[in-house]
Amino acid sequence: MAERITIHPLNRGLRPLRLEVEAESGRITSARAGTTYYWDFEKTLRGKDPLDAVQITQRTNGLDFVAHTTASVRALEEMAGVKPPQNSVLCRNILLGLDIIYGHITHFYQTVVPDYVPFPPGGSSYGLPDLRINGEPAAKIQKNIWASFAARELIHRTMAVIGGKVPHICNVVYGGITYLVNSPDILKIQAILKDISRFITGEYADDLGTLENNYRDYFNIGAGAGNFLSTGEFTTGGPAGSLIPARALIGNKTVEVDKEMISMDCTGSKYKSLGPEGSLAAELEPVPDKPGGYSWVKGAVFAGTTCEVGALARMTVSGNPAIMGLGETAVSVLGRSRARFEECQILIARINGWLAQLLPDEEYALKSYVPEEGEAVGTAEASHGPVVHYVSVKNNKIHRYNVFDAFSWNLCPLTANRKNGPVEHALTGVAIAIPESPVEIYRVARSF
Amino acid sequence: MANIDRRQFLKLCTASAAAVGLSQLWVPAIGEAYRKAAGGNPPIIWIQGSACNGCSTSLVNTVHPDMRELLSEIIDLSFHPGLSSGAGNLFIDGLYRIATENKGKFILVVEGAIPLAHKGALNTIGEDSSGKAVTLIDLLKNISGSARFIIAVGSCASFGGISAAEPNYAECVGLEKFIEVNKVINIPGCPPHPDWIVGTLAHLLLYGPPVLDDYGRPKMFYGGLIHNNCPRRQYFDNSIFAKNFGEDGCLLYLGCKGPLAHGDCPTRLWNSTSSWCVDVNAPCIGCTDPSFPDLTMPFYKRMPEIKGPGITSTADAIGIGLGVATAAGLGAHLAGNYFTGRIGPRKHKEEEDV
Amino acid sequence: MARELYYHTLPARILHWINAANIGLLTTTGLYIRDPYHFPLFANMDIARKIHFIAMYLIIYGIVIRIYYSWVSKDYRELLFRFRDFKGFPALIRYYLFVSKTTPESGKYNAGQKLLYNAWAVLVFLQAVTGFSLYFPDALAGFVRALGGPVVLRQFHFILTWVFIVTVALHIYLSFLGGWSVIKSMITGYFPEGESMQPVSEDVEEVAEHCMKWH
Repeated sequence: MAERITIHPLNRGLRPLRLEVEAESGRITSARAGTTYYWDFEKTLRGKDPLDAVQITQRTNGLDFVAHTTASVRALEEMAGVKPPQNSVLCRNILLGLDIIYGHITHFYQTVVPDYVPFPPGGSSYGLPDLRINGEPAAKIQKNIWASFAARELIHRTMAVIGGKVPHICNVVYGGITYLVNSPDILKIQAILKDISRFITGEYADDLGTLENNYRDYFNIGAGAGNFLSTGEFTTGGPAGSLIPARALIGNKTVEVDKEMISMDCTGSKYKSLGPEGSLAAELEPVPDKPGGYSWVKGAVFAGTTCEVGALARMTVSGNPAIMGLGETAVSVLGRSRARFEECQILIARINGWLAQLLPDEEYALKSYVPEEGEAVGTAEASHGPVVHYVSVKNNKIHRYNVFDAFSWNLCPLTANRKNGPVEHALTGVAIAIPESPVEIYRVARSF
Repeated sequence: MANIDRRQFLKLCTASAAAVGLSQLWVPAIGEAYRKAAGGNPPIIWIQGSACNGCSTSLVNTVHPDMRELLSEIIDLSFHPGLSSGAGNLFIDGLYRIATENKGKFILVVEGAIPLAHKGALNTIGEDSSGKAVTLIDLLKNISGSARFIIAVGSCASFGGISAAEPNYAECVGLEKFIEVNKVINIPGCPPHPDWIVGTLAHLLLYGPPVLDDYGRPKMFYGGLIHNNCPRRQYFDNSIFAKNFGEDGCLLYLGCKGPLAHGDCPTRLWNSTSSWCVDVNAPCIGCTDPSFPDLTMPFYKRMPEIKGPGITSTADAIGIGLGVATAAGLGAHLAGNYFTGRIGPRKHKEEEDV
Repeated sequence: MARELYYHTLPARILHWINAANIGLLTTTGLYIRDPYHFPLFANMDIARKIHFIAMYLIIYGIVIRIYYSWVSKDYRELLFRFRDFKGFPALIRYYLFVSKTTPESGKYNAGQKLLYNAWAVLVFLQAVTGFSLYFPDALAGFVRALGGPVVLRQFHFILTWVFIVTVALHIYLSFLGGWSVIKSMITGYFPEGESMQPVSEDVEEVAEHCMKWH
């Protein structure tokens, strides 16, 4: 017997979602996931100074904003053919790394955990079923949720030393950064990093372990199609290449990612493409009542395939041993949380390294001008997945600007060749115990 | 230290005291205040509209008091999209239930602008138990009337902000243009400083609404111009201007909008007194001003352009153009005077003189 | 030597030069405050701003006193631009565009002069309104908001400055065109009888004829 369940909103994530699933005898047969509000700067940015994009696009998202600044300036730098100074590359890496850690801690404690342990304590009036952690361990996790807020504040504090103010940093500009940290700053950052590191290896690790021990079955729930993509991140300019390669895994086949192969697919979204069709440069017209459109997310596909992005994708394409060790079960609800944790550990160590590589007396910003004309694509990895910015400039003004974030990948609406996005894919096949309170759906959808 | 009066509280809210740490003083004080109140402290309903939710992220950065003190001892955050459990119609129904149960008591906090285009269809926030989609407009119309106080957090909710940047396809407006029932307390900023949000809430709980300026902003936080309190003011007065990022000097030529933006950023500093925009050589982008971002763009240029029908120009270009046109016109006229003989050597006279 | 007429009274002359000095200071400091790199006219911002803030009060007093004086001395009869003055424009424009050779007939001041001098009083008023809004951004915040915000006001204030620069340039140009007698009259107060305030063509007879007509 077919049954339709609509969940709107699914909150606590990056943005609220609307989920619509069809279930047959307690198992999901098809799913649709999308957002229900228009949030796009394409029209706003047209005709603006190209340098302003870094500030405007940052406001796409209150969590992954560093990735947006970085992608925005990278697009302009690529267009101009300039290479920002080493110091600025390192500082951007540090900011991006810290932002990814921030995103992971936020995701775990604010998005994931309250589906397993009621929060705020005593405020579980919504009566979630399947709460297996009780008593002392639950109280400990609840206490650590409070602690996670403090840890998040510490991360933003370090980011502010480099970036001025957080959220929405102000030091990243076209051609470099505006400020290079001095030795007292570095000492302060290093001191706070120790506290953050302690939180990750202490409370975060413990709580993830508690979750994994009590919910082992969630290593087998929420698998995707197995296509992963990372646009690559954390180069230091050296010969070693980037920490996370620009690589995709399409049906167990490894493909090096070329930005040319990324295209836009707005079949299932509420945008009408005015062409060029499929190009990242396409001009979009919002159509709120578009037939077949169910999401305000612009879809992004790689080589015609929808791809899962985020920490799991990055850890998979870079061959992280802990994630590889999970084998098949890595692609699962808790596998994604595990990948996030592994990435935090890697990044916190790297950030210390990048701090040590800064050259205090060297330059950190180019004196360069944005070309009058041109177009380019800039990418940056955020905690939830890659951010892709397309920019074209005419007569010193932005002609077209398209922003794609992690949602464009993980929540890619139905594509032209009838492919589902990773979230929809992961939801399909999930068994629901109580249709009135489908906690399984929450847990799967919130794992991305 | 349990009781502090309003004057002491305002003193604590000033930036110099913020660094010392407010929580030891005001957490017990507020606890005392709401113990006295018969029905406990009023619940807070926090709603997100068209926004990046960075304001909520900024709130998490509160230190004195921290999030645990704030949420478990000071305010009763009954509903927040980023923190509350529940999903689907439970979420919407729960929200309505809290609003109905606390009619005339709760504090409504709105983060993000309200898109009016397509009758609000550009932002549906959920579905109620009957399966009907609830737009942000529906929700606000439904509950804003029964709120005791309404607070707009962030520039989007206050004045439209980034959401309403031209051409404003979604026809976003700030809360004060949408709600007429209650006076809205605006806490602009992109995002606002956590102290501004927490301090305003605390003032509301302890003493009622704070004194507001003409833009509906609490005077205790938005009382001064950034420019007047800027640590680089000396550079401005001495006409030392930075031309490139990283140089010493006033950032006016790099687009600093400090001369028009109100806020205590220069003295309060951001993220636990770590830094602020100008400290990292970046210009103020004027994010607390109602003109943000349309008139504070370009962010990295001295002055915005003047847009007229068919022309886009800077005020300087218009001025200098006028000046050049005048000089050319007067020059041409002078030549005309000379060639028509109105001025210049007069032949008759010369002949007579000789 | 021709007889000289007492043309400008002492208070009118003093007020003229005070206002001229203030407008000059306000314009130059204003340009500097706006853009010290392109108009490097002062040592630093502090000095420029202080001069601007002193001169802004003085110009207001100057204009108010000038209006008061024109009322008590009844010279508003010659200064005030009236609707009937519009009739004087065609002849004036024909003269300035070299279509006609004769200077148009008028009273002490021609229609263009009246319009210009009256417009300055209005301009100073507008500059005072926009300027004080920028000077007291907090006390006048509601007013600033009603006028479109500080950015709009600042641009408006600046454009008005350029209107001043253009009109003052025109005034100075026409005065110099009139020759030394005209300039001298604003210093000593006396203007030679029979001379024209404006340059006329070299056709002497025509000049003479015209001068006779003028008196």
